Amino acid sequence: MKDFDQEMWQDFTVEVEENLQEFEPNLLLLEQQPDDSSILNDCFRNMHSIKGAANYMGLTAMAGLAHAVENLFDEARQGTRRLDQQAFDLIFKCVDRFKELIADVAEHHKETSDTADLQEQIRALANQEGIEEAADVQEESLEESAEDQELMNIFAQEMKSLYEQMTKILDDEDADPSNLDLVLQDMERVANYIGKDELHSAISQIREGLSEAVDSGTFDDFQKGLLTSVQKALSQEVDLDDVLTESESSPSGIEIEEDRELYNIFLDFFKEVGGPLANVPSDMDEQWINACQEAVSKLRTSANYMDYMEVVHLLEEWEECITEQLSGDSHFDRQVFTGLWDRLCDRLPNLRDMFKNHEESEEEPLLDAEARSGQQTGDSSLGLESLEDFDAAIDTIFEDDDSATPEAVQPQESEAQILEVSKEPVLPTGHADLQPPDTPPQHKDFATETGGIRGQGQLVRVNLEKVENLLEDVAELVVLRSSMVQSTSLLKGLYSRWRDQRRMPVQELRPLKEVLLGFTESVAALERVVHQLQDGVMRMRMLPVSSLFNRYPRMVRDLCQKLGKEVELTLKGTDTALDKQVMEQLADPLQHIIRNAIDHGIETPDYRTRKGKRPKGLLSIAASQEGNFVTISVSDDGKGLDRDKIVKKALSSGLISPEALREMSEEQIWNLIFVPGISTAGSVSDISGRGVGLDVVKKNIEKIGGAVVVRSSKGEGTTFILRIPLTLAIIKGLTVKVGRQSMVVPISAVYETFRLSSSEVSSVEGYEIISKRQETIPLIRLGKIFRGTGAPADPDKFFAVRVRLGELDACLGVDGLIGQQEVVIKPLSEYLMDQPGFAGATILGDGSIALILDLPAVLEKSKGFIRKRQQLLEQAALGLDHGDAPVFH
Amino acid sequence: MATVLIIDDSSFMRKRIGNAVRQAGHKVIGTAKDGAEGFDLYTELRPDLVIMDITMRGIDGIQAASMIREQDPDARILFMSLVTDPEVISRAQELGAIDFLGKNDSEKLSRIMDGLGKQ
Repeated sequence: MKDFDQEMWQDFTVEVEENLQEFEPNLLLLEQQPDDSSILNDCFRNMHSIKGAANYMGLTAMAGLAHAVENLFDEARQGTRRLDQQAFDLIFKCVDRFKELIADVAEHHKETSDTADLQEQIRALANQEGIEEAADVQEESLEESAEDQELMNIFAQEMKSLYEQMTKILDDEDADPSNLDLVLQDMERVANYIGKDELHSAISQIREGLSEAVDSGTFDDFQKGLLTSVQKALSQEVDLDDVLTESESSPSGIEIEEDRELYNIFLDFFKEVGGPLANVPSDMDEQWINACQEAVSKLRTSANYMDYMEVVHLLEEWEECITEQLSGDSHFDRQVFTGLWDRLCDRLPNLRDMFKNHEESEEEPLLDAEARSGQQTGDSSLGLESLEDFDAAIDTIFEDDDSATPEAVQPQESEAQILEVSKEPVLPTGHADLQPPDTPPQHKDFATETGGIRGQGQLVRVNLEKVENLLEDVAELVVLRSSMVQSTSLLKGLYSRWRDQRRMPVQELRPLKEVLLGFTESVAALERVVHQLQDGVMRMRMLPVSSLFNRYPRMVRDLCQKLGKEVELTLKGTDTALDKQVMEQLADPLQHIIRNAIDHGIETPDYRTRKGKRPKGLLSIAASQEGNFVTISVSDDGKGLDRDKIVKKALSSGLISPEALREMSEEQIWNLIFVPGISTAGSVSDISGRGVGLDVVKKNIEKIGGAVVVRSSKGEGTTFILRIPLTLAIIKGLTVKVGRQSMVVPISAVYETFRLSSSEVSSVEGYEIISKRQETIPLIRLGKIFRGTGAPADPDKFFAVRVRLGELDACLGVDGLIGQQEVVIKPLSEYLMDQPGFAGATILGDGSIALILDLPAVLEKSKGFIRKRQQLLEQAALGLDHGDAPVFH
Repeated sequence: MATVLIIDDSSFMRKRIGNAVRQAGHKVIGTAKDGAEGFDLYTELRPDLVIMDITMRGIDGIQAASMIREQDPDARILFMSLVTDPEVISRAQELGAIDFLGKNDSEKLSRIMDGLGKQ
């Protein structure tokens, strides 16, 4: 292996990761629109780039796999292959493998696993009919080591494709010897690369023979024997059988490809309307005659349009016969019509089969459609591969749409419709639910998003560490700024004192005043610049949420397949920026919510249809910024939360009393699902409910200073709303004094502050409480829960900071309020991390250190009381007097 | 010392080729990620040599090469691509590409680059 430096490996990893990041959403999009050539091209290019880079690094497993996938796309691009569900599944598997490999390579600088299995599967897919042959190849190479086998696979594939190229060149009457030489040169190169010396020299000889033949003017003769001698040389190493049969069976396949496509469209149309023609009744049937007339006239117009004159004549003949029947001039003769039908079938290849198939497919469940289309040979049917799917699609469309009535459909019109239908996704599991034509195109947002991914702006890649360091510096600057602001106010105070006390003559004070003014101005300017700088650096850490959201389409797809559900995913506001760190913390909770929505929220297509909903469920993930917060909502249009189940669970687990329940609003009940021990899932499934409940989701979101609520409406769906701070690195805080220690309370949680004296505090069962405006609020004296802060300045007079966090409401008792300011959070040293109650530390303007309170942990202390209060309130409501009740006035 | 323009859609390859060019003592005066950008840069910079990929978004290597050739019949173009389709290769040769090499063929690239210096 070549000797690469660290940087090169890093470049390589980034390159592959970037390509994969583009590739995956594009692949999802392509699955929906398999005919979109621009997406197809992009997919091809991604694989091509990965192949190129992997080749350069000598990573054969990745290069080989990329090559195989690239070939699939190339064939699709050339129109010789239609990517079916099986192909997409396989390509997704390849994406996963690439991710594994690249993680490996990033760490170990080598590939520790191979991709022979996937390459084999792709090849098996490539020659569906050649499955036995693929098995042969496998058997042969089993003896060799895995790596060799994979190299051999690439080699065989390349040789085959070169051989194919050669046959193509030779098909041309005036084959260009220099083109042949090029192909031979490539063969030589490939043989050399793989170390097949015999083959290499054999091909070299053929090449020499070619140049001699050209020189001596015997090229024509040489040409005739060329294929045989190449075949002979290759036969030792490569199995050319499939190539040979292919080229023999369709000598001019490519030329008629376009016509073939048109023809298929015509056939499909024929199938759609021509039923009566295929099923001639044994006796005169007026209804049939009418249907027949209708169909014939449509088909004639279409055939005319296609310029299939013979067919047009036949159909005219048919029309005449019908007219005779209608006028009653002649006796009904079935054979006249069946004869005409046979003649039509002779003119139109595949027509008879198609109607035969059609009958079958009506009897069999649609689910088999895929399997059967898979059995069809790839090349001979071209676009016909997915005929059954196609039918199912058309059937559905016409069921959904009243235009199925013959009058409404004009030939050209329905033709256009068919074309459009073929671009629509045919669903993987054969549910074949197509949206009625009047619904807006699906994945609109998604499409624009991925469009954005595909186009690249001008970007500079910066190591995150550098940004972090810069942020640290900015944090220092913020501290310095604060200290300068403080110094300024001190100076001002000093100046006023001097002036007021008249210790110095006014003239002498004037220069001081000017200096002070200038200084104040500079500090103000500095403040502004520092603020901008801070903002700018914060922004650098921000990423569009699309970098988080983009992993969900794939997840949704896989979940749907697993659960047999159909979901249309919409992503909105994907360019909303969010701090990278926040995003990381958000990934798991969001994933949990999405899994829940698909697993428990959205119903199965059957169930939805029965309920009069669209079979395809809607799932929408939206992000938007509101001030210093980002709101992310996940909504589904599924069955909604089960109120009864939640209530039952809450009651049976004793979390809530029946009386308390009566008082609760609808919304409060929904939000019970976040309470530990209450999960709406009746059973634990593979998808969600792996022991992690929504309570963990809520906890994780609150840990980053966010909040989550849920809204639901029975039968209409559920929406989770997450409110997340823009960044974790800087918060607005209220600095308070506790003993001699400064602490910071995140301002987002502060509800109010007020003065308190000891007399206003009472206690209930060991909990200190205060009463305010008829409310009873627990009091948590920070000086008591955190030891070592020193004695309070005045034990009788202190301040209360009332904070609210979710349903928790409490007052923090502090000795003094210092003021509001933005603080940059610095993580605590490791030995302090285990201490609950602090989220971090910060440096204040005067250089002293303040601890930032971890409110959820602090408020944990009041939870016991809240529950207690709940009970007492109930008892009070029931008229039970326990002596403590008078507290609750 | 020759001036070189690199056109490749992969930043990884641009960097690698750039390194090889610089190691051979030449100067990379521009890099482009697709044919259109490459053509514009060529017009602007007039490098001694263009090293380019074929598979690229939008205007591909072959198209870009013919545009460049049209504007400057003396342009020296070197394709570096994994394309094996003889049609494409012969088209590249028609365009007078000075050579055609695979992406991991860095030795040959260095040889060509060395040769370039002597001319």
